[in-house]
Amino acid sequence: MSLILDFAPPLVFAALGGVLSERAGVVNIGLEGMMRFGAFAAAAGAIFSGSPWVGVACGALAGAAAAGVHALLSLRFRADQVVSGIALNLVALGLVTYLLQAVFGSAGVSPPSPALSRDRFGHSALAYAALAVPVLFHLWLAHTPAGLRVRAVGEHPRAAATLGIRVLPLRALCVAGSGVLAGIGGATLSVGIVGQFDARMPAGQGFMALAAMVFGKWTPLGAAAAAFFFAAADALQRQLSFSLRAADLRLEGIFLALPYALTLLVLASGVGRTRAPAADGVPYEPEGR
Amino acid sequence: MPELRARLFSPARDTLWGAFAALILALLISFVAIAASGRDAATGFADLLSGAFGGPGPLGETAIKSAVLVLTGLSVTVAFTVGLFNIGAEGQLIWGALAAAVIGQRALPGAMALSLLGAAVAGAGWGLLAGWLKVRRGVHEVISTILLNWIAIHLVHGWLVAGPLAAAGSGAMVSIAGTEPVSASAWLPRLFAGSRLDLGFPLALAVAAAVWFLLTRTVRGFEWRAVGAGRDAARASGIPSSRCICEGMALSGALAGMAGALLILGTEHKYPGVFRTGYGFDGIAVALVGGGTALGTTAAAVVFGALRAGATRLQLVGVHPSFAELTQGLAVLLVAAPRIFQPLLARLRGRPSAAASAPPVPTVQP
Amino acid sequence: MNALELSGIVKRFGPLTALDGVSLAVAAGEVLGLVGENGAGKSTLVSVACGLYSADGGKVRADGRELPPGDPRAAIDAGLGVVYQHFMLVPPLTVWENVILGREPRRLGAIDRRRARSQVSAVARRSGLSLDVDARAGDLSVAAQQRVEIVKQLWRGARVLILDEPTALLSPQEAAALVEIVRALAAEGRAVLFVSHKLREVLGAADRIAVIRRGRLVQVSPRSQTDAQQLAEAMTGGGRAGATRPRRPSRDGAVVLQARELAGLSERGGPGLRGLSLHVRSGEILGVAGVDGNGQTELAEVLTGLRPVQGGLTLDGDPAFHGDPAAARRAGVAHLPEDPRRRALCLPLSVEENLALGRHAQAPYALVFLIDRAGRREMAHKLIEQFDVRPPEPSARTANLSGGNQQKLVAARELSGGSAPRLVVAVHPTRGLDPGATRRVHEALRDARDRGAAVLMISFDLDELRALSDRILVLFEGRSAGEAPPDASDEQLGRMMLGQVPARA
Repeated sequence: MSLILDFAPPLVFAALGGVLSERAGVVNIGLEGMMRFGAFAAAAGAIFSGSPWVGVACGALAGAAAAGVHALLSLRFRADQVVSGIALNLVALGLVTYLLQAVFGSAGVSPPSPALSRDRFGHSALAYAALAVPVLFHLWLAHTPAGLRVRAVGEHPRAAATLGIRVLPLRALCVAGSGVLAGIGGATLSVGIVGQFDARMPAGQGFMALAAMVFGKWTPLGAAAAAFFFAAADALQRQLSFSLRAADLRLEGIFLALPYALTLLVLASGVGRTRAPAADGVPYEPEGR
Repeated sequence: MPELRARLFSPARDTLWGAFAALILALLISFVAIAASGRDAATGFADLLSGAFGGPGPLGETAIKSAVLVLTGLSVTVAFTVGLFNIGAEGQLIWGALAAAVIGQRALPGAMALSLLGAAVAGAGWGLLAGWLKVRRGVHEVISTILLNWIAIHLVHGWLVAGPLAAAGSGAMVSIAGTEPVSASAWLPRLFAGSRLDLGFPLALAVAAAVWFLLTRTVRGFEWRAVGAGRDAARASGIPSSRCICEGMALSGALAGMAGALLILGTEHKYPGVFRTGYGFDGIAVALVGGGTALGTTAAAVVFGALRAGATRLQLVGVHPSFAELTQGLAVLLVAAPRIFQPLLARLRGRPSAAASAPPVPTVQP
Repeated sequence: MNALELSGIVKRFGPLTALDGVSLAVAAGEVLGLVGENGAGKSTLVSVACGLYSADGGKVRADGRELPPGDPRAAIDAGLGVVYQHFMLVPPLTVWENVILGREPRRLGAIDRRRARSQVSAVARRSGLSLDVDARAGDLSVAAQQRVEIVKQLWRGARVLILDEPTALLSPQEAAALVEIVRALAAEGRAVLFVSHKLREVLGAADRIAVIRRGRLVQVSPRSQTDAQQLAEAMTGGGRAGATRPRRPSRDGAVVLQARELAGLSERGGPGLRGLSLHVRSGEILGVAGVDGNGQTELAEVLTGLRPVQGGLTLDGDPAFHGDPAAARRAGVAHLPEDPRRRALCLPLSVEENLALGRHAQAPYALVFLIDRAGRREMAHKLIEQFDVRPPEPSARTANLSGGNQQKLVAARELSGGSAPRLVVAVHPTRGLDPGATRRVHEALRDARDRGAAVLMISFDLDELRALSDRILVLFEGRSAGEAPPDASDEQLGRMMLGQVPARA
């Protein structure tokens, strides 16, 4: 149980980032890259400032900056949103390794960074935030004017535009917010859980967050629940791999593959008709006819 | 998500120039980055060139890396042709590599050909699954192939290679050891002394030529392109679009699977315990920079192959080889947004900017 | 002072000048009709007026104050409200959410749901528009969605209402009810701009009528000083008055298409087909009328093999083409679909590739399994010349052709690309076309008929149906509501379109 609350936060934050961006109509395959920038910047910020919270802030900023590139390419230059996200992931892979080596002289891991303090149950504040943020996000999306506008822009941007809502700036804000969340997710990995940056981070967690978003039907509560569920599968696998080691049965892979296979199964079976926002990934031309 | 037609079929020449400009600009940015970090960028680039083309050894390295990129790039390109964005070349490559490793262990007659064939079939199966999910269950291929990648990675690395298929007697070191080695009769033969250049590169080029012919000269290739360019219109004209999509995804998977076989039969000679290739993801970059055509993809693959081979030499001036990935990522980033170059291209043609005054393009509903 | 005043509006799309110095004014309490053919620039003018497009020249004033160009919010704040031809509702949102979007009443930072709902209901009630404010917008009928659009503008305090082709998708009775509402809104002191190409409705609703042709304003006249004939001449430049050439009496050709008791569900929640029977003879045009969503789309898809259906369906006595687009094509079914850019053309491919589409595997387009590039090129040149497709370049990208030329391309392929068609299925074949292209498509359909094809044409445009058809069949809820002769009145067709079956004509 306790492990779940450790593993879930990165996934939860990143999955919420995905929800924010896609509900506004911008596909975000770049979560993995944004998390990677966030994780690295958080570790670097924490090491240089001595404060893990400065690190988290740096992570959020780095995520937002990466998301800014995605927004610029896909909204301003009308790049295909999937392509732009993939490009971001590729750049993150190369650039962060390059920076890691340039800044810390090692292409493997960073020096240990100050870690977030933990309470007597061994959890950091971010773990609890991962419980509260999805609820707040849900309330915001369902009940505030801004949330209503985001939903409208993701479903039928032209209708929103006729009512004076500025589609592209609103989408850009949502993408940036998505980067902040993914960046915090990455920061949770480096300064929250591990206490250093590892060149392999986030090791597919961004893609898993994407799966959680789809599994959760593009809703904040659903995505967060899916993220917790995936984290539980991960935790269970770790528990089992301890107890099974003696039998030399390598079942890790099956457990690790399980969340992905389940998501695929749910999508394929069409249970409850998972549906992306109608204008998800469709570029908006202000003067299109 | 919008269909691929708008994404891939921008005016042919623009794509070419856009890709070229993107590559140059990406290299330029990388050059500046190296120089800014206080290192000797000029020497670095000279090293990079000699590492890619300076003699039979470097040329062999370039060819080995290019061969794999040609195949994964074509994999993505073929999927593009039928209108699908195959992010799953990585997973298809992994199954292909595993199949080649397993079949190649047995010293059968024609072991090399059999291994390649098995790899193609394994990759095709994984690709077909994504195609089937798309046409029968309506699962978007971007999502399904991402999921299938991770399923393949975890099943093969975390279970099969570590468990049931692990080499006997590797004991506590299972996670590193990998499978039993491939029989030497299945190895790709080396072509020249003093170079690791093997049969893989000519093989990849032959496959590229065959794919080009299929896509541009045959009736079936035309049907695939029609499906990719407008699925509804193709279906209305009597083309079996679902079947075309499945066929295209199967070929896409087969190409990625063969790329996996090249890695196993050419360099690794077993399925290793740690096998992080990334070649599948690089295939996306190659196909995008190559503009979604067979010829462009092949050219882009050779450029990126050379970049990777050369980048190992950059360590001499203290630059990590991840530099190659960085340049590649930048190139895709720039290619992704053709409109960045449109004003420039328009000026080269002596016409006003198309970006500013183009008639609005109707958006295509999914 | 005028409630809305447009002066010297110029708007270009690339090389195309859509509006060329248009000036118009509407006063409070007045309904101004704006008529023009499809493509004359009506919708563009509306988009400029409400700030969705920024004009390349000219000014928009509301109550004498100039509006900043390209700023929809300023236009809304100045009291401009537009009801678009394609409704601007967000389908998954509720009616009240759609109404308040962008101007949400707040309480403590959140949307004040109770106040919003009660305000929206009140506005609807006051103007006599019945609405369920909690329904999802996507679940409503077309007429109800239009009421939501009107309420949306009234709730925002619109003093100038612009209605863009408001009757395009309505039955004649629904349209008449709308005209009543429009008159009432003007009587309350609002200014209304009523944009349409249906002259009768404009003549019924407007105080003054402006005519726009090819992006220019050609006349503005009080209703009392004009009539349908004169307006039609102004709209077309006098060229098309009496474009309907004398009809040949329908020959008694052999029955080509025979459909009995067709039934099948629609996945879009509409009625689909529910026991439709019809036949079309060689050498005749059967027009199909009906309010949108009464089975037209399904019928067209069934006849072209795109949709399987229950019931008896034969073409020249042979049922084989059923549910198989390729077989339908082999049997001689030609299809001019609605939305040809999506359903008939692969836009990124070249003109010659699109001309080959569907027959791409046979001579002269192919040799065994290879493409016959020379044969295809030769055939393409022939078709391009015959149908005057411009530019006459087989390797041009189809996406770069104008809408009219794309339509000509489809007609060329479907009607002349191979052996003569047996059955032509045309769906809204001229929607969105300029008069020249419209004429050419109508000619092509008549030619096909004269060469012995059976033609089935689905259209919402009663004038088009009357001009071309030998018989008009009215679809209602997936079955036939009866047939009418081509000289049937609006009134008569309208009643049938609402399912009120008349005495057999």
